[in-house]
Amino acid sequence: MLLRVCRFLAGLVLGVAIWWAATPAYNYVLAPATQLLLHADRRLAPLVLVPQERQIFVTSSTPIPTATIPADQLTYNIILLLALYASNERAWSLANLRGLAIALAILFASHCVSLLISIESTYAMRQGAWSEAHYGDAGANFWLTAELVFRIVGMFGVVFAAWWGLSHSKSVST
Amino acid sequence: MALAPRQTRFLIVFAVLLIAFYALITISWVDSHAVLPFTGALARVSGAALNLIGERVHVDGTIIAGPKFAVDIRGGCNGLEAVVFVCAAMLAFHAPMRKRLIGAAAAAVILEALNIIRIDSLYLLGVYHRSIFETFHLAVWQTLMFGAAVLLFLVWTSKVTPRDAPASL
Repeated sequence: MLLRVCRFLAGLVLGVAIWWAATPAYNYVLAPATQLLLHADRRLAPLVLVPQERQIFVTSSTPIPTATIPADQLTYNIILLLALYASNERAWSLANLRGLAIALAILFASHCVSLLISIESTYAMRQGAWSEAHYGDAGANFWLTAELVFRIVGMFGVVFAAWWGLSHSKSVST
Repeated sequence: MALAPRQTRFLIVFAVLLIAFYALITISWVDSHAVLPFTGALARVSGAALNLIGERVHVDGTIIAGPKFAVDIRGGCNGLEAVVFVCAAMLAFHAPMRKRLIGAAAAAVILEALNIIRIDSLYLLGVYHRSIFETFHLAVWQTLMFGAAVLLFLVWTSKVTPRDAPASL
């Protein structure tokens, strides 16, 4: 177990470095992918997501207010994912790396959903008169709750479920 | 990529319990009557530990303040999220209920002890290395707390899984 803890900590250090260095570039992938999801909500369909270093700027050519989303606060669960995969026995085996690749794809999808929830919550709760005109109380509470659940426990729940599930699946387990 | 039915059941029950427990601690009455007093107690213990190592701090509610820096322990920093996480995982796991409850209680105590170290280290970073405070506050310690929760869960499963059963990990 001690060895596993050491591998976990090594993965954590690596994860922090990767998350810190790669976030600005990653936002260039995350923003356009999430923008496709935004089209599902007619109120927010005109929004354009512009990556700006560690944040994503939400703008539009219409009178919808602008916003800034701290995207790095939605994606740091990758650190835990890398640490957990590093803690696995035979971390560099093909099976473990394949599991990691699938988990990363799941994580990317969850980041898109997380960014979408964050934008919805921002526009439902924090845009003054625009929010009141376009969201009812129930809708605003739903998006705020969804944001809180995802940012506090959901983002780590996704990582744990992906790691656990893929480490136990028949084709990946070693 | 198929999961055994027991593993699928574990993941579903884990997700349901995680959301249910989190919903419980966000209820306004629970927050004001349990979470807030608990967070205040956590602040007092953390403040006492800081005074013990020579930092002159005073505690007011959930705020630990010194001459140069202050931290306010809010939801998300009181360790309850990691406790909720590990409790959901242990209670969802296939093991005798008594062992699940003992495991969850023990994990909660260990995680809150670790959280006191987190709070004190963040205070010290705020005083002496403010430039890296946010990175540690946001990414490093949050990951360590949930990582510790996962490791505690793994240690616990290795104890409660019968030795002749196939290894779960």
